[in-house]
Amino acid sequence: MKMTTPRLIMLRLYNITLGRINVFAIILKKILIHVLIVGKKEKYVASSKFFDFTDLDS
Amino acid sequence: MNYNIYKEIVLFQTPRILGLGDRNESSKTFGCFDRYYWHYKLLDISNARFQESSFLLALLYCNNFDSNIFYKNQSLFKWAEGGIKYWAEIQRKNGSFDEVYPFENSFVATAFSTCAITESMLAMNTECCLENVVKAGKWLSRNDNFIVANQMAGALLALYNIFLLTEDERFLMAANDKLKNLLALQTIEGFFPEYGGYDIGYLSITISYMAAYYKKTQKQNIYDSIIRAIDFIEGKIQDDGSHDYTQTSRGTQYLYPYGFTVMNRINVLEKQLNGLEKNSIINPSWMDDRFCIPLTIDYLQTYLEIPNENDNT
Repeated sequence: MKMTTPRLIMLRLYNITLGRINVFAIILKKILIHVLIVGKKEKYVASSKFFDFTDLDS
Repeated sequence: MNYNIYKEIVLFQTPRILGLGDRNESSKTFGCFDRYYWHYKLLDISNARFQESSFLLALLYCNNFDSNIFYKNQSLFKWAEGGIKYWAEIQRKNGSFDEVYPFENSFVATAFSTCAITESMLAMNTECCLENVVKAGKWLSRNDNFIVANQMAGALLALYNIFLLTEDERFLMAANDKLKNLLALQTIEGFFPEYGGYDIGYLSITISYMAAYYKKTQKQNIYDSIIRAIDFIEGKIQDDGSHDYTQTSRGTQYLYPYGFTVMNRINVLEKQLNGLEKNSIINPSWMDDRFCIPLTIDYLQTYLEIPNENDNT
């Protein structure tokens, strides 16, 4: 799921309103982890997908 | 002088720049080099300037020199072409590109990304996305940014490259117009203004792109103009390649060397080499991702330009 302008606006609106309250910030984090990391078929790690010299042979 | 340091820095930065790109062919964002967009998902648009990476890959693919393991590597060709195609995907309907926010219609992003993409297409002899290049050319023909000379120089070279790709005389005329407007910006002292004053880093970019244009056209009027700009800049460069950037209009710390090489002003390069060898001046490895890419390209062009000094075959 890529970031889009409407998603970014919604996220920021949430961040500066409900997100100020700790419980809602925790709920958001849990949702994001589920949607972007745990729930993905392909494992997401921020520091992955850098270049590897073996890629040249692919 | 050991000009190989330019090559060494380029080859050191290449894996970093490749890591910015989405190299997974089955991905929807294959060819996107804005890692902050396609991987981290931190941004809602992909910065078109990251697509300039294609030009670096194209140069590495096309030029055989010592230690260049990327020469004629088919994966590299695929990634370079993927970069061109992704550039075409993110183009606005009016032909422009965004750098920072949606519907920005950025002159700088359109000028420099189009320039790099067209250089890649010329180097790799590919005509993919020619329609998009034409659209970008039409937008650049209609738009200017007179207060930032380096962007005008980028647009000049982009338009000339589009003429070379399409043989459409409209783009040659548009390039001539850009050149006329650019030359009119030059001050009596010899510099091209950046937001009202001189700036060494941006002036070296202007010189680099003008020199690339001169190399292709051999026009005398641009030669004289570049020489005047180099005469202005030369005395301000210290023996270690550094310069006082505290009083310049933009405060840039870097120096693009390619233009000095094309114009055979080797003494400026020798000063820069002094600093590069001691790692005492800014170079691509010190810079953030977005600024690392064009300077790395300029270093590679510099290395490839020096006759009989490198091992480029």
